[in-house]
Amino acid sequence: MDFNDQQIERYSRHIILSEVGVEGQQKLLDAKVLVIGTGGLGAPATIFLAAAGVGTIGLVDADKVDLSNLQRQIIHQTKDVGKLKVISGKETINEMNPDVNVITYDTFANASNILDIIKDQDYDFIIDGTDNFSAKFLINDACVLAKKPFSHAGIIRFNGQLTTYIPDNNTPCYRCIFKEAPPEGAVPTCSQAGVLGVMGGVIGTLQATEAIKYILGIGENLAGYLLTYDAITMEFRKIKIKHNAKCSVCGNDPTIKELIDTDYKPPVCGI
Amino acid sequence: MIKIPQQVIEEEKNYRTKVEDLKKGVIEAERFKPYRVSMGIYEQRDNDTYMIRTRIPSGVISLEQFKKISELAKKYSHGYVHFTTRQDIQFHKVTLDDTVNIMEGLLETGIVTRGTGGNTARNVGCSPLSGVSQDDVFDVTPYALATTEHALKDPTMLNLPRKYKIAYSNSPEDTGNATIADLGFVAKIQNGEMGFEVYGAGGLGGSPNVSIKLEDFIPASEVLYHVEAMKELFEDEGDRTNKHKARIRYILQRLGEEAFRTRYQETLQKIKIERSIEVFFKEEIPTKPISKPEENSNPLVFEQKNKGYYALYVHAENGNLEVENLDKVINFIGGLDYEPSIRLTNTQGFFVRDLLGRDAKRLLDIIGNFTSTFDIDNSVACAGAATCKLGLCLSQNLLSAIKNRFSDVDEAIKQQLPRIFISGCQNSCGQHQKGEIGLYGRARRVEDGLVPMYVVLFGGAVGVDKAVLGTDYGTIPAKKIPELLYRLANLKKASGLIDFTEFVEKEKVAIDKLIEGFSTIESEIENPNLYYDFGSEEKFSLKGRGPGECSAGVLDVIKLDISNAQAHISEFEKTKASIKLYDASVSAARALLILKGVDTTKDRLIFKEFVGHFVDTGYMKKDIKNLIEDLLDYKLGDIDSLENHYEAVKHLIHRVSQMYESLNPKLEITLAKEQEIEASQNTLGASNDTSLNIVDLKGVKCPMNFVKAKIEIAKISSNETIGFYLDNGDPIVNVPKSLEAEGHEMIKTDDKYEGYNLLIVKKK
Repeated sequence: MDFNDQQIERYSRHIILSEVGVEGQQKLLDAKVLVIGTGGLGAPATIFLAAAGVGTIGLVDADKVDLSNLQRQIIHQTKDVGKLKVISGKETINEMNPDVNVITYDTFANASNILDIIKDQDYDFIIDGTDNFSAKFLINDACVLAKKPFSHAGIIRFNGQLTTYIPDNNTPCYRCIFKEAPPEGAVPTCSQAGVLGVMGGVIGTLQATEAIKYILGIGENLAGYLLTYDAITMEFRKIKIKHNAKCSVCGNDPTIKELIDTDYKPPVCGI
Repeated sequence: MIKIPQQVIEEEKNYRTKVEDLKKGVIEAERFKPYRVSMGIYEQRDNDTYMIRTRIPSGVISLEQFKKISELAKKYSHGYVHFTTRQDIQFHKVTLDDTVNIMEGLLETGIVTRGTGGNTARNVGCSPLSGVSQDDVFDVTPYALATTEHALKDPTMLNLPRKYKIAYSNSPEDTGNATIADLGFVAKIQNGEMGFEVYGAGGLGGSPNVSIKLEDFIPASEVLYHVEAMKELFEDEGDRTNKHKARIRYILQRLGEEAFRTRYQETLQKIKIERSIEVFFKEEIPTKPISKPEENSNPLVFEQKNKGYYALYVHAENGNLEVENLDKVINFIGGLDYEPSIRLTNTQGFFVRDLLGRDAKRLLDIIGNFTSTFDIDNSVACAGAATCKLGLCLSQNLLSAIKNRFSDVDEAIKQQLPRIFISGCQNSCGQHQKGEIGLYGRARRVEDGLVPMYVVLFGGAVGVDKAVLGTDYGTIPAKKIPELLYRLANLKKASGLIDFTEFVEKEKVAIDKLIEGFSTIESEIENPNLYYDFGSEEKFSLKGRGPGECSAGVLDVIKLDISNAQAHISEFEKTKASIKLYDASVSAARALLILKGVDTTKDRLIFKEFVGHFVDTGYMKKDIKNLIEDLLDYKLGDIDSLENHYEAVKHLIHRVSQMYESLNPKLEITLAKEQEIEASQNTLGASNDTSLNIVDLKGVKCPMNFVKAKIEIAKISSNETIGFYLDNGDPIVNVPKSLEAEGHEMIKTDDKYEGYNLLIVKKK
């Protein structure tokens, strides 16, 4: 453990906590978290992971910053409009915390690259910050196959939800709950519907919390639970979920044994 | 010309003795290395061949000096001189013995090499056409030379946390690179007064950034205050323990712009009060008569602001000029009945200035066989993997290949591209980030092996209000670069645009597509060529790459001594030979002396200085003096055995290592003094265990004192004890409670001190 003076000061409020301490902070600095999607969920999650001193953060996104993103994707600034989101995110992090090594993947995750990306740095935890069903199923399946813990989340309008998957723990995966993507057009995606800007902040920050606690090895996590949040009624609900023995990826007789592109069609705009 | 301080002349003369000491084995290679590097001498890839870098202050060189350099290159350096990107000249592939000969030869004409390598104030940059160019605000050369004189006089300028690059430009075009330097001055006239805009904390290399503007206007006479202020800020804030993050731009990153500016201004004001270092130069009255202008359309010839005079640019491929060609230029200048001036540039070439029109034409004929009139031919490339230990790709061979690709191309195409800046790795010796086109080497591993690649950058620039680093447009195999550039030139011609950067902005889509097409790496069977670098018969590898020497410093020397001491004592454990205990003691006692400016091989002096610096000051307990007395007696033959001192020698090594490990970024020892620890233990009546480590947290406020205590406790094992000095008031009330809540045991609080307490804690 070899902190310089700036680090001691920067992380002092962590080090004071007996649950974190010097050892915990070192674990964070040694940890590697992959954030897929640098948007509504990924932006706040990444900001807090970087501030906490997670030493390696991978960012996956091929989108460029659009003015309409800035209402909620707080890692990007007005000057970044037109820039690749991963580059803009990296710049923000570098300015905030030079301890963090940001690795950028200027691509959308797909069946042929996602396992390579996860393996690239052998990430310890993955955060799903994407905005469409096919990507969410892709990330779920990839993490189950690669035996990687991850945090799933989704937001729309005034609602948000999240759960955590821990491998080898009889944890239900995303596919255990929602067998497959709904038919096209049945559910609007974020880009088609509105979303209150803070929803990503609340849910993305909870994702970062799950990642940090997992790295530190403290407390309870959301494995086996789906946490939902309704900002209109101001209600949180923690719903118990069970592992599905017939799940096509993590069940007893899985049919998904490798990732094939055609299984994960990117969303088509129905309008 | 500048005045070389006597001290520096002595140091140069002493080099021969040091080399002899090395050969005799009096000093180790590891110890010689940082010394050698500080004298501007670096080892090249091939063992026992060296590069020696001169200091041509701001590129100002006399004809006599040029002659000497040519003569030395002929004798000792295979008949080549190398022009650098920092207005210097280097000799390459020199044997160690000949480095001595070159250094002594240079000194005859007033050229030194001291401080051209290592952690020093490097050559001060200066616009090569200062005083004569059309856009000249005023001649900044005298200020640049005064800066070099000032730096050479000050020994601390030769022992900085890392290198310190200063530059001057004579106009906002910034041909001196002032807007990307650690400290830069750009000439400006305000209300009729001569002065400078001041820039700082810029730099290429790792984490590059363009400078920030520190002052909108300072009177010209005040430049040295700024040189000193930046130096002091560097000394105070630069991280000496991490050479990769030591440059001034990292201080800016750490402190943030606002705090950096505040610290800079505070330091500046302090120096202005303490010192008086104004410089004054009479405004130069042109002594040359105005001459008849000549028709000129050659791009190598620049019309000067004094009418009828011309500056001619001379450039050899990769900056490597054969002595035969250099001599032609020298002889031509020598044959004139007036004295032109010579200035080295930051583009691996030089200017001959103040030529009459007809003479510029005559000289143009002479250099025509090695200097091209096309910008692309006069591109810049660092030494690269051919000789440099850090290099990845053979950058100079790439430049030759680019020139070849364009050799028989239609001139209308060839003139499309600007000068290219090429570095063989991400370090920026080829200044790739400042070029409109920049390339830097990288290796990529694919299934069939390693491929030499270059990152392509566009749009870099220096200058007031326009300095910007080049943008990354993609990475393509080295072997595809020449063809890419050719296609780029065609694309630009078709666009009809003149300015390259404007072309890149407007045609971005087409350019992106072009680069994408070139970035494919085919398998070895399909395209074996890609797996070999230019001019190399061997498959591309990282063989021969090693650590850079550039910043070899005191820490390496200290480490060497400590490891020698440890080796000697383990030798003693095996052989029981007392001489090994003696040798271990000498190495240990010597290790930290370098921090005190003492560098000697004489045992007696080592022990004396050690006692003065570390025992009398309390860092070591006093009874170590008994050991030292016996060591001296042993050496004189008065004692036969040192065996009963084994524990004492072990303790000596242990303490020295502890002191070394406690060095802070300013290289100060932060370990608590052993004599203080002893004193406190005696009053506590604690055991004779002298290893109690006390950490001084006086002056540290809550809750940072608790944080720092936790950090220290994390370093020790369970049941070990550790002491903390804590201030009266909140600290001594809160910290013990907080530590107790974490489960540690509070052994004792001693409040006999004035204003603070000693808290002893046992780890849970």
